[in-house]
Amino acid sequence: MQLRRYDTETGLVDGSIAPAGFERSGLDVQGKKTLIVLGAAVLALAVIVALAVSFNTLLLIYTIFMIFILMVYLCIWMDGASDTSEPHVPMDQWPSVTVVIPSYNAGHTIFECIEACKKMTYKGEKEIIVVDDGSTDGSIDEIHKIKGITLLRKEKNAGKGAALNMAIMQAKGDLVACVDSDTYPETHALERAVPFFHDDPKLGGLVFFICAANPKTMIQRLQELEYWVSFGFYFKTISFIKGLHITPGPMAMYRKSIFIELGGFDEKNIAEDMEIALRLRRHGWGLTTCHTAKVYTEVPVSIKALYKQRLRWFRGGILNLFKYTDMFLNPRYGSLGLFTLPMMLSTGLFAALFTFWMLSDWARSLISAILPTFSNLQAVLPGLFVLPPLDPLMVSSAIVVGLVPAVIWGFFLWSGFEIAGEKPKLAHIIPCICLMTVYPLFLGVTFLSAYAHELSGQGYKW
Amino acid sequence: MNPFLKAVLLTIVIVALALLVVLQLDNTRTVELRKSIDKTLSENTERQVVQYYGQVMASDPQSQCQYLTRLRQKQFDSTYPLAQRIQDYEKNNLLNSEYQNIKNTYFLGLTEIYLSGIEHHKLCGGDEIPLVMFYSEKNDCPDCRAQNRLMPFIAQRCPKVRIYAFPSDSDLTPLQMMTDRYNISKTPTIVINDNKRLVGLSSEDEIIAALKANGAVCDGATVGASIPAPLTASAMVNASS
Repeated sequence: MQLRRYDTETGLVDGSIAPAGFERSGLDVQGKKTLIVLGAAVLALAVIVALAVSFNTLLLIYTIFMIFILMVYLCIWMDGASDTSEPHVPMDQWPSVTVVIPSYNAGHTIFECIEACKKMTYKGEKEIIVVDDGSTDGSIDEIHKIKGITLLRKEKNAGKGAALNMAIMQAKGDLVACVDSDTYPETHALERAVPFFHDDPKLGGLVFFICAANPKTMIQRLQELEYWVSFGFYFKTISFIKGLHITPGPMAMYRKSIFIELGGFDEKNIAEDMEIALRLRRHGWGLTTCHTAKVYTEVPVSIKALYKQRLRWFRGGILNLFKYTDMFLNPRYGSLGLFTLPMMLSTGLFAALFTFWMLSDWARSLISAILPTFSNLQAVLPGLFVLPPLDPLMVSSAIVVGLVPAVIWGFFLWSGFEIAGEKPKLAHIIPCICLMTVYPLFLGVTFLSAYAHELSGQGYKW
Repeated sequence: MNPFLKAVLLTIVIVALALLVVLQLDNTRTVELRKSIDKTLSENTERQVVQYYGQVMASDPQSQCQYLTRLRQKQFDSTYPLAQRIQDYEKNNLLNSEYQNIKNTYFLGLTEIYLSGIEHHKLCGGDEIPLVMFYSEKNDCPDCRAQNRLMPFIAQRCPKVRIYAFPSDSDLTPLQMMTDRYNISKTPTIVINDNKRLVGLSSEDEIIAALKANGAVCDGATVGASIPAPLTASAMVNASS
C-alpha cells in the first residue's frame, strides 16, 4: 500500500508518493514564527493595558467574556446538543475495523488495554494491531504471547505518530480505531460508534467519551470531573454545531480512506491528534462524537505530571493553531473557524493574562510589604498580625459578578454528570471546589509557560 | 435563532442583572458610610453647641470641661473605626464613584476634631497629646504603609496619645493649610503636639522618645507582635497601596 504525501507547510495534498511511509514537516515552522512573535507582542500589550486598569475592572471584563462564552455553550445545549439519540440506520453490513494500539514501555497498562480491546464486541470483522515503538521494558516479549493480535515492531523509538502510521499501512479494516496503550474502551464502544460512519459518508473521524480511569488521588479525581465537563459537555455541544477541532489521542476512530487521501499522522507533531483533526476539517471531512461509548484512560497522578501533560497539550495547541491560521475566523469552516478556534485561543490568552495580572499583583503587594523592611524591620513586623474586621458588607462586588459564570459552569458540571451517567457524591465536593478556584490559575500558568516555551523554541519532550 | 446571537442577548441581560445587584451592594456600603460620617459630623456640631452654651450661660468652666472631655471620647470612638471601614469598602467597591467625596467629608470632620483638640487643651488643659501622620495618597508610599502599621502599637502603649492621619497631597484647603504650616515635603512625616517633627519612616522607639519629650506617658516594651491592634484613624493610609 502506498500513501499520498501531505505537505504540512502548505497544507496541500500534492499527490506525490511518500517513499518512506510518512515524513512530516519539522516542528520549526518558519514563517509562522513571526506569527508567534506577533502573538507575544499582542500579549505584552494586553499585559501593559491590564497593569494600567484596576484589578476589579480586569476581573469584570474577564467575567463578561467568560459569561458570553458559557452562554454560547448553554444556548447550543438548549438548542438540541443535549439530545442523546443515536443514528438509527439499519446496518446491513458492518465494515471491518482495525484497532491500533501503539505501545512504548507501557508494560503496566498495555495488557489491560489489549484485554479491553479484545473484549469489545463487534458484529463485523475486527483486527487488533499492537505496534511496539522500540520499548525497552521487555513488555514486547509478554505481548508476543497474546493470541489473536498482530504485533508490529519498530526497532527504534520514533514517536506515537510514526507507530500509528506503521500500523495504518498494515491495517485491513475500512475503519481504524486508534487506542492509547493506557486506555480501556467499553465493550460496546465499536458497535456504538460504527453506525455514525454508516450514517454520514462525509464523516472522517469520531471521538469517544474520554473518562478518567480509576481516579484515586485528588489530582485524578479533579481530572475525572474535568473530563466529564470537557470531553462530555463541551465536546458534545461543540460537536452539535460541527465545530470539533480535535480527535483526542486516548481513543478516536477514523475512516482509513482519509489517511490514503490526506496522508497519515504528522510524525513530528506533539499534538498529532489535533493536527489530523484540523487537516480532516480543512479537506471537508466531518467529525462527531459518540457519547454513549465511554473509554477510560489513565490520567496523571501528580500535579507535576499533570503540568507536563498540559504543557504538551497547550504547546501542541498553539503550534497547530499557527499551522492552520487560514482556518482561523474563516467562514468556510463554519463554527470551527468562527467559534472554536478563536474561542480556544482567546480563552487561553485571557486566562494567561488574568493569571499574569494576579501573580504580578501578589508580587507587588509582597514587594511593598517587604520593601520598608530594609529601612525599618521593627515597623513592619507588628502589622502582619492584624486580623481584618468582620462585616457582611465586606463582600467584594467584583467577586459577586464573578460568581455568575461559576453558577453557569455548575450547570455544565451537572450536565457532565448526566452525560457520564454518574451521580454526584460527597467525594466530588473538594475536587469540584479546586476545579473552580485554583485549577484555572494552574491552567493559566501552564498556558503562559507553554507560550514561553513555544517562543523560546525549546525542544519537545513527551 | 442563531445561538451566538442568543448568547449575546443573554449575556447582556445577565451582566445587566449582575451589575444591578452589585450597584445595590455598592450603594448599601456608601449609605452605611454616609450614616456613620453624619454621626461624627453631628457630634462635632454637638460639641460646638456645648461650647456656645458655656459662653452664653457662663457655666462653670470645670463642669463645662467635663462635658467636653466626655464628648471628645465619644467622637474618637465613632471616628477611629471609620478610617478602616472606608478603606475596606472602597477596596470592595466596583461601580460607586462617591468615595472621594466620602473621604473628603471624613477628613474635614477629622480636621475639626484635631483643631478642637488643640482648643480643648487651651481651655481645659488635660494630658491628651495629638500625633499627626502625613502620608501620600496619590503616589505609592510603602514607607507610609510601614509607618501606619506601627500606629496601633503607639496607641496601645501611650493611651493619652491621639493619632490622626492626613494625606499631604489632598485638594482640601484645611489639609493644605496644615501641610504648609508643618512644612511637609516628605512622607511619612509625624508631627507631635503641633511642634515636634519626625521626617521619614521612624521607629517605634524614636516616636515614643519624641512623645515622652512632649510629656506623654508611655509604658510597655518595644514592639508587641502579639497584641491585638486597636483601630486608629491612620488606617486609611493602606488605601494608597
